[in-house]
Amino acid sequence: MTGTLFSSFFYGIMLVVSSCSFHACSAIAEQKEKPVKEVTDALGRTVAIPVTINKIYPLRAGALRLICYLQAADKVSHVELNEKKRTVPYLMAYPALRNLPVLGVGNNVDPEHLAVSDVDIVVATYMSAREADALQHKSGKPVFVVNYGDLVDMKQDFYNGLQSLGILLDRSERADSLVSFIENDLSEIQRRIQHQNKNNPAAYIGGIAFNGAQGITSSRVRYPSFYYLGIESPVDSVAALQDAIGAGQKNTLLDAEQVLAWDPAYIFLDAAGKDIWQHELIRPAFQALTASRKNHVFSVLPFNWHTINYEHLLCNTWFIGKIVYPETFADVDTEKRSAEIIRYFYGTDIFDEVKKTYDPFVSYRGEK
Amino acid sequence: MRANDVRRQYEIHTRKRMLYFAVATALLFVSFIAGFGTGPGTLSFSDFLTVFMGNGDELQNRILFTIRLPRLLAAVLSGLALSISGAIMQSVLRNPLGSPFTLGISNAAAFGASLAIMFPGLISFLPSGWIQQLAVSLSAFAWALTGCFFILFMARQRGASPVNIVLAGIIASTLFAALTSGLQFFADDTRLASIVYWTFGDLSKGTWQDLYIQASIVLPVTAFFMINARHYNALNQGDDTAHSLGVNVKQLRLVSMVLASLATAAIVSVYGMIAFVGLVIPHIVRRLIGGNETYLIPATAISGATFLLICDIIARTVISPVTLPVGIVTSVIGAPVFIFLMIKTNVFQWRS
Repeated sequence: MTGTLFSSFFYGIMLVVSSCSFHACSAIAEQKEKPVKEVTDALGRTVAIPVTINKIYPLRAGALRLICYLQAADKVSHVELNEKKRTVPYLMAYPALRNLPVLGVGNNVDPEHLAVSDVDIVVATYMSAREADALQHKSGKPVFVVNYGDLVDMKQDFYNGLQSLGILLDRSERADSLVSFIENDLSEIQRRIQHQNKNNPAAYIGGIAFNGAQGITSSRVRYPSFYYLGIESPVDSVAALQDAIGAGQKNTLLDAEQVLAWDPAYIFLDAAGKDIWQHELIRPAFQALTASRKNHVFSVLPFNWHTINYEHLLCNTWFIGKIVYPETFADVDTEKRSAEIIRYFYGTDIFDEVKKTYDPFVSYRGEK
Repeated sequence: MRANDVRRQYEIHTRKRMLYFAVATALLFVSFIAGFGTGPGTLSFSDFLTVFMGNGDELQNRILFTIRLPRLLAAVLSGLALSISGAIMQSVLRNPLGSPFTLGISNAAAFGASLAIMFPGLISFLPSGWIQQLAVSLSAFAWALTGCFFILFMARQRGASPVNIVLAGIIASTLFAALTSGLQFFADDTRLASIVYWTFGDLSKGTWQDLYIQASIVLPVTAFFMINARHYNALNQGDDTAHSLGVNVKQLRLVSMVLASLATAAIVSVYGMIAFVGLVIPHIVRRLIGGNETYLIPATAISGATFLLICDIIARTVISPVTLPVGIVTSVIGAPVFIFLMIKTNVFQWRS
């Protein structure tokens, strides 16, 4: 009796597994009769997308930011739950995004919820082809993957991402103008420092967020602002960390003693980790640092909060340039320049709110 | 008179057992049907017939055949594989704390799969799609075996006492969890997202191909366990007794552990970590119907499948529209149940 019961259960599974696959195949073959065009995403996948896209679901870190850069926030129809409580400039510029219906907590989405939503397309970052194919297959929604890139080694990925999204969302002009804005800004900065024959100053960046807020010892190899300003960061001279780039990891958690031993002339601290580093700064060891004594410790705008904030990076580069090369950047009003940059990226004046939120470009003596 | 008492007790026991099977099987079917009807896509029960007859629209077909059915079958197969692996590990190690999770075998499989995700170069020469998924599973299995041999080695060296096995399990779990964290620490953002996504324990990830691979591993393994139920019963009387009854103890123990690890790896490599099913379900079943493996193994299989189906329904509904990873639900439900069991029965003095 028991044996029979179990065998029927056992064979039941086999039967269901094999018989349903037939239905599954026939189900996929039927496609909706909507005008579609084929595009290629950053992973080389060919994705069939609707000709007109009005409802976008940005998935994973930074996807929504790129869409906001392209001034296509009005086409976003769903957001991840985590966006509701996130403090980032793109939500300051487009606060209404927080009120959109939610799909998934963040990073993952239930394919069935996606399937029954009216989303036209999923724009995803940080996704492998296998995951993208699986999500697309299950949900029936096209999944377009962009490479989020960065501003140094993967700058072209970032530009390609903007431009491919520009074509997708009918914002090509905007994408091109963003790319040339960033390029102009970076070459203007590089033009200013090219006659700088003095020994390059040493500066250290700390407090970079990495799986959440971090303290002084959280740094970054090839920090873009340093890279464009020709500033030598002691972090870049560590061979092991250079190797880590090969593995794709640029964030690095250092030993506090190492930071003290380097004793850099300037220390810039990312505002994302302020709650942590402001308590570290008052320790005697950090107070004794040259940068502390010379009043060369400054806060900068968050670089890596829900991945890279490109607009903040440009602002930081102007600020750091002015601190390290005061003569070369004498004519620059950092705050005014930052306000211009952020207005350009988001189309609205939110610098006051950004400033109030992060309190950047402030000198810290490490005293309370 | 006494013989009558014994007989009556046996009859009561048998009736209890039959009742358990009837209830568990009914519950399995009910939860399977309930699972079908659960989700944001509005599908009434009459719609199901239409869709099954092949007359559904594109969205209905998709929801039923590419999302819900694979997910339900994933729950059934995973619940079956994990709980039965736990039951077998408990039997062959004669240890109440045996389970893929407590022995570190789940963590080892997780590490193996992370390794394959982290270094796709190792498998990139393979044609894409399900063959690469198979490679991830094979890597998971290879490391699950490493974990399994470590436990067997420790059991042979120091005896399979609960303390030794628990210690070996803690060592293996911690080591493999640390190695996986190490991979995550150095992973770039895309691979990190892949690994983290995958460690959550989520039944929505599987495709039909995954299910075929899993079914072709898990079902024969289950059949092997069923066929050998008598031998496990003999083993429960002690190695010497089993040996005198003609059981090749060493071989049975080795093969059983390897097959249980294989079944675990097949599940973990696709759906990620689903804790507590393998530990708690065999205990509950053992307590309710006794330790006779002939009944224990199928009852565990049915109960494990039912438990995971119910957990999955909870995961999908409790904070809808957000879906919880099922691994969170099994742990949240499994932990108090296990604590209750520990208080009510002394699991550390478990006997067959």
